[in-house]
Amino acid sequence: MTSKKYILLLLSALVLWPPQTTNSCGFFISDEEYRFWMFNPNLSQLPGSFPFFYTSELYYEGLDKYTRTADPNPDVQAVANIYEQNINQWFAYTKGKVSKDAISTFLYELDPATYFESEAIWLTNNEFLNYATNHHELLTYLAFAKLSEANINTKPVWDDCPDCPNIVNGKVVPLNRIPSYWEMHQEDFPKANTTIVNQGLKLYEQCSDPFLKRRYGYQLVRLAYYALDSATMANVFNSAFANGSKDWMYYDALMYEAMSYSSALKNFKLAQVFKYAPSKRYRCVQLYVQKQHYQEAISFAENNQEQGMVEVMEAIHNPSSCLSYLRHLQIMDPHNAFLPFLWIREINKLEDWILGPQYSEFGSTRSNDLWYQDAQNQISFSKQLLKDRAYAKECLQVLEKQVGLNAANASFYHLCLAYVHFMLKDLAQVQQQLSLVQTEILSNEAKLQYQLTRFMLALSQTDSVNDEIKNTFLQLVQTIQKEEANNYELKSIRYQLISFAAQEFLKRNAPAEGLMLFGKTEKGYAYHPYIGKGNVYTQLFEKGTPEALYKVIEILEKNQKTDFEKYLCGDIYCYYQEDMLSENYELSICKWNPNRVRDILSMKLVQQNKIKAAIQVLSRVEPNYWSNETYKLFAKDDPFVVSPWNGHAAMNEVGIKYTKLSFLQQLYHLQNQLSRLKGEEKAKVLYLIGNAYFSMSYDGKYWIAQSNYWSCETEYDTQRPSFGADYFTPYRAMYYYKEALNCTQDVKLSALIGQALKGINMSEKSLYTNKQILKMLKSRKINTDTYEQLNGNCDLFYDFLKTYSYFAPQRKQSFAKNQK
Amino acid sequence: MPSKSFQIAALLAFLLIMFALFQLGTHKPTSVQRAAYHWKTRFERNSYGNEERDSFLDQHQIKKLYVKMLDVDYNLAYGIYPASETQIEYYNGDNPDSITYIPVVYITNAVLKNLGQDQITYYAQLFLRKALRIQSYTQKEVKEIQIDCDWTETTRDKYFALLVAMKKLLPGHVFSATIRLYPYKYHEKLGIPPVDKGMLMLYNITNAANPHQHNAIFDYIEASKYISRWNKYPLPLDYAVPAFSWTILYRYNQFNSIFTGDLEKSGLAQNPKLQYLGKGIYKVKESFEAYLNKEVYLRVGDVLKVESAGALEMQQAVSLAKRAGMNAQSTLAIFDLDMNELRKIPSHDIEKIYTITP
Repeated sequence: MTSKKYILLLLSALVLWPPQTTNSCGFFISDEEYRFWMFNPNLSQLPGSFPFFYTSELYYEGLDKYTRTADPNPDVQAVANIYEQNINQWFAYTKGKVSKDAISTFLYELDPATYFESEAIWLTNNEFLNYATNHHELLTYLAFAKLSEANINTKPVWDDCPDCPNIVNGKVVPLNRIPSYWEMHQEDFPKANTTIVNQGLKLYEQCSDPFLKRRYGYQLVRLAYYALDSATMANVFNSAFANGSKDWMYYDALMYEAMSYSSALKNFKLAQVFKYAPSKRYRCVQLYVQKQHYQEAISFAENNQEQGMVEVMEAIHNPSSCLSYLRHLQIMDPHNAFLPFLWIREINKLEDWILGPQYSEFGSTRSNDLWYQDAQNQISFSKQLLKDRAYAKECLQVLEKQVGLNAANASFYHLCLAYVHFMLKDLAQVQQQLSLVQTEILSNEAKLQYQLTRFMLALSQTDSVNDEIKNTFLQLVQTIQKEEANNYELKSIRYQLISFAAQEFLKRNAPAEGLMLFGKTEKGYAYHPYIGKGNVYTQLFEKGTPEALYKVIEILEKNQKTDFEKYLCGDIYCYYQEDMLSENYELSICKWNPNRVRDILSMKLVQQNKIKAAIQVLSRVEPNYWSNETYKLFAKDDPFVVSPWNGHAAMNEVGIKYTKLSFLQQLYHLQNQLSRLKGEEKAKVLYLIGNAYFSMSYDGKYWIAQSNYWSCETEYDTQRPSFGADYFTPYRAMYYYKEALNCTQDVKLSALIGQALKGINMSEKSLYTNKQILKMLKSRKINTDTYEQLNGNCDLFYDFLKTYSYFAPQRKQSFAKNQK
Repeated sequence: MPSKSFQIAALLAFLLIMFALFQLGTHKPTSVQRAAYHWKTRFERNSYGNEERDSFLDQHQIKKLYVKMLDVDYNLAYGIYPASETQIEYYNGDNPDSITYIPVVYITNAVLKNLGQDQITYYAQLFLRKALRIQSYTQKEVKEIQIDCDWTETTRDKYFALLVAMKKLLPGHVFSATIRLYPYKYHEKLGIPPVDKGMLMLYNITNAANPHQHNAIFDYIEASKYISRWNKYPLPLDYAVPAFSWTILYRYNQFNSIFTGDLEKSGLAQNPKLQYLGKGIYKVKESFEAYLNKEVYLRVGDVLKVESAGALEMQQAVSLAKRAGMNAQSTLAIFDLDMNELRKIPSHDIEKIYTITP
């Protein structure tokens, strides 16, 4: 009796063992992880434009915002150009008597503190400084420049000391509280002191050399800015820069001048600096306040070009439709250097809004609502899509005009037109526009874009995927991959191309290839209920038919593969596991696992109740596949035993171990037995089969015979094709339970079946009430006392289990006989 | 027969002698006021991460901690600037903190040279406020502030003016100043800083730049030359003794740089590119990039000399401190509270240096 209590206690623990739940607090996928784009944002190769590529976020941060990527465009070169210009100016000033290296060392490598600590050594050893020792004014200027640099760039400051108590009248006045970390570490605005400004003014006045005087002017503008001395800054700027060449120094100084103003005039000046100073562009955009003072800012313009720059700044700040600015620019300054860049941004927006919903399950970044299935949102999305298409047509009109206005860049604009027409599915126009592109004058990136658009057109024009399409695709992918070494951003284009091709192949006669292509991209293309971003195996499960999956296996196992098939069968991105057991949901490079594909195929077959076919597929799975983390959990459960009060509970009294294969084999064996069985024996077997089907269902246990992952996070949706109605509903289980009830007069078995039926839910509601089951039992003339006693009675339940589940030795033998 | 008065006098003298002998025989050793210096750029006092240090403080009943709060330096580029400020992380929960904290501000002589007369009050206030930061965190009133500076004859007046200005700002506080052996001995020339007391630093005796010196941290013979039993310093003194080591890099027989810590601890001593010459001296056989609290490129022919002050040096320093007048009312501070160094010294040796027998 005592030992029985302990056994029951142990069993209770097992019964009440909670279902495994994910620790996930939800998934997160950022817009940039899934935003669809294939029109290269760097086509205009505008220096300093990288942060302003179209993005749904504030500034573009590259393919992988969590990894610093190299800026592909010549912004760095632009900065280097300024350095080069400066060095050249100094070189010319010294009449070529000093090497550029020495000048560069002094200007850009020598730290002020280091210079002043060992000034004598530097004056001897650095050619530039040595030269200056014979030119007093030059040496004086260079020393002042280093002092100025120290004051602004590198000086350790005496901060306000937010955690210092005050001293008042000989006493220490303690603080009320310690400031927060952020209060303590607020970035200090560097403050140049007025002493150095005054020192600089004196030198500026005294200097007789116009070259050096202008440079003093530049240093003073900078110092006065940091000393918050706008009067000095304005005076010096006007005197040193008002009449003179508008070189890099002029615009650098203008930047400081611009920053000292506020509102409209500041906006206007920043717009001009933006035009001429690539290294300042980012800061100009940061400081520019969009929409406010727009008209007033324009009023400061003295010509169309200056006004055009204000339009450019407004457009860069606007992540939504900017056609009005593009129209203005077209009228005022059709040769504005930023127009191509702005058009690329506009096309990237259209791609996001129009193509995004086609090629990414996450849709466009307009909608951050990832519950895409919401019917209400679907209506809004559809309406918005119509609006976006209409907007695209308006853009076409303006673009067509642009071609005529800018003949030198006509090929670029034809490329733009082709792409927009593609978005509107006007394939004839795509063809037409592409034919007008003079490919020989295109940059390498533009040539690639041309080839991409050609491929997109070719694929859209055919109903079937032939070898030519596959080979063209492969060549494009390989070309882009080579170019990626120099331009990391092209990786994203490669990924998008793969997503595009995958979706298009799926629609056509190459679903297997289409499915496999999803393994070649890291970019988000599919939804996963709790990881957020799906992977190739998610797609195989969600979208693969059994036929397609058979084909995938065939391709994987083929001996003589084509080049395209070799590509498909190479490394892929996948999750190691995608059930909720794994805490490591990082896409990593994997090899194809045919066992996993077979596993998924078997699920599809089980969904169609083709148990034998599923067994045949799983028979080719290597035995060690069943010892992975996912299936270790199965090993703890007997799917033929179900607790009527908790369908999720793992039940395993005798340590029986099933794999998916052996489970299906046993199920098939039991089904085959039915034809020769009668009466109570048949009822028992029917009950076991009912349990097996229940275990596999949505309300059942973690027996993913029908699904790729446990569905606890999945919305109950009988329409969902990948799972099928028989997964979300217990119809199959119910059928077998009722058949079992029809065969038996055994009060215990009837009670068990009655409880099982009561536990069945349909659309998350119980299908049978207690009353209905009592009625069913009474109609079969079965005494209902046992059924009612069994209500919530664990002891009795386990007692009955001994008779009706795996305690019977015959079952174990039959299991062993069928196991391979 | 001696007179009665003589007998009484003799008896009294005898009793007095007996009493004195008794006192001498039974007088127990006493302890000085125990202190240590905390000389790192980060000061932490919390419930984790410093168990060894806190255990050391408890074990040796060290109740005073001199905590460096600020280093001030000067160069032409930056002017007078904060070379480093100590970060503070303090959390003691509900536990009472029995330690007294004395903030220390270190000022280089270059600062004094370039300190304008009209800037003295400004910087005095700035330095004091920076020093008092520790009070904001510990919520314990700071009563003493120490200034550490190697002033010279030419900067004496400005230094003293700075100290006076500080005292004027906080007249109710105790101010102490570090005194090195040279100004201790030659105080007529270098003056007595206008503070309440001094801290005699019994280390950094000789010039580390001299490759032939025995131990620049502490050399008993050299240090003895500065301390005389009869020549007392006209200011109440506390005393600091060394417990640290460093590695000096000499290149072409000339001083190049100093690194805190020693080769042995860093593991560098086992590097096959170094040849041990004995007495803590290593020669570089093959050039390589090394790390000794900072990165350094060692070249063939470079000489690395490890110098340290451990139990012996501390005891020798203490004996000099006694000679200089240390008593039970004095504070004796170990410089500094670096467990990497202190764990090399047996606990009873630490206790010995804090214990004085009259």
